[in-house]
Amino acid sequence: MIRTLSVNYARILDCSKDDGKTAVETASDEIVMGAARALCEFSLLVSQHNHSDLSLTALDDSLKRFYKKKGAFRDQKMSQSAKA
Amino acid sequence: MEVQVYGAEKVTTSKRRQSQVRLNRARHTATKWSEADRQRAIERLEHEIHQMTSVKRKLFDKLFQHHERQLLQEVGTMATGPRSILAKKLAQIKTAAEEEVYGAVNMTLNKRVEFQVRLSDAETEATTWSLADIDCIVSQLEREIYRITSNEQMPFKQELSIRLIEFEAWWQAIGVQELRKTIKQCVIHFGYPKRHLVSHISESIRRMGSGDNFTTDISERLHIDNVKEAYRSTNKVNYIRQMLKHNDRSTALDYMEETLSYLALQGWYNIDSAKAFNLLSAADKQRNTRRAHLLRLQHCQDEPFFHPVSPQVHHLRETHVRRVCRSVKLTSLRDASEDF
Repeated sequence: MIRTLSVNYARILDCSKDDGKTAVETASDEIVMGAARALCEFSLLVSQHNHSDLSLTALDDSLKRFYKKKGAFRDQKMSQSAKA
Repeated sequence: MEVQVYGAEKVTTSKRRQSQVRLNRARHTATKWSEADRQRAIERLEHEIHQMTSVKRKLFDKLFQHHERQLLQEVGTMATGPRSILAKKLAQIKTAAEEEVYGAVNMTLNKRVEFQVRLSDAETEATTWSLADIDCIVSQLEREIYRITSNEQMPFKQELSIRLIEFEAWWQAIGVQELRKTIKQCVIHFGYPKRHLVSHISESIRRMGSGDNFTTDISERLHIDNVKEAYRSTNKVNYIRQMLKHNDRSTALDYMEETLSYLALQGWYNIDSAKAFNLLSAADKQRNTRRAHLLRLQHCQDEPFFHPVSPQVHHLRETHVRRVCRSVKLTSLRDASEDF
């Protein structure tokens, strides 16, 4: 999943395309990017060969941030289905 | 609701089953489009659209049969498929006979199309099972099987309509919202086992060490060295023995490299073997040049310190090492020290 993250989020990263997004959608994009960032950090920390208390705390913290922000995916999907 | 209104003794399971069977049978009978129905519909439509009469029909049959007989004598009866020459010519003869008997005005292309459309409409109409039909049949079956009078059916229908209206109101107000909520929870919940396992990673690292001990990448990478590259090194004839020999040799060379690197790290090396294995660091290489040696002589500095060569260690000459370790990637002293 980590390998495909950049492909999946390329549309959001491309800020030049506005596509007439509302303020709510823009905010939702930011939260989605936060979740993606947390996941990337988690993947980076987990792939380390050595761990300390500090790194494990950061690992838990990144996972918590992802779980906190994952609702944005749901909101985006629901708004897309409502539009359709 | 049927049980509440009519009573449980009237609406039993066996009666329900009987009612369902008879309803299905009635549906099958009503929606059946037999060949006789089709023929009747065709005759009616031909009369309406193509102005066909029974006299004309007889004349057409006579003419068509005559031409058909002639064609059969010409072509023979070998090929009678829908795409055969016989079938194509028969269709042409039929069209010509129709135009001759009924008149070209009555057999235009538009009228033919209209005929086909109305025929399909008639079939759809005859095989459609409307709600009114269902209601009528169901009421009749209830009267026959459940022994329910029409006076009892009226309050049931009223009650049913009221409940339907209530259900529609509930659906608009709450039902849709609840369905959406359920879909949200069921479809986009992130509650997959794989996602859940991620939450146990920090605990498992604390207990069993970092996750790279459990990776499958190592065994997947070995497939490249031990199988793919080994096969490429063979001459593709009796390759299994050659592959095994290649693996043995490469493993032995790897062990040798590791051992020499370890010895180098411990200080057990001489300058010749260190040069041959490229085990000198960049600073060592600079210090070992002729120019550096001359500069040291000019400034009366001491010679650089190298660890003494142990008599137990094999003294590997450069030419020998180059020949044996051609395929082995040589590492510098710095890399070796980082590895260990």
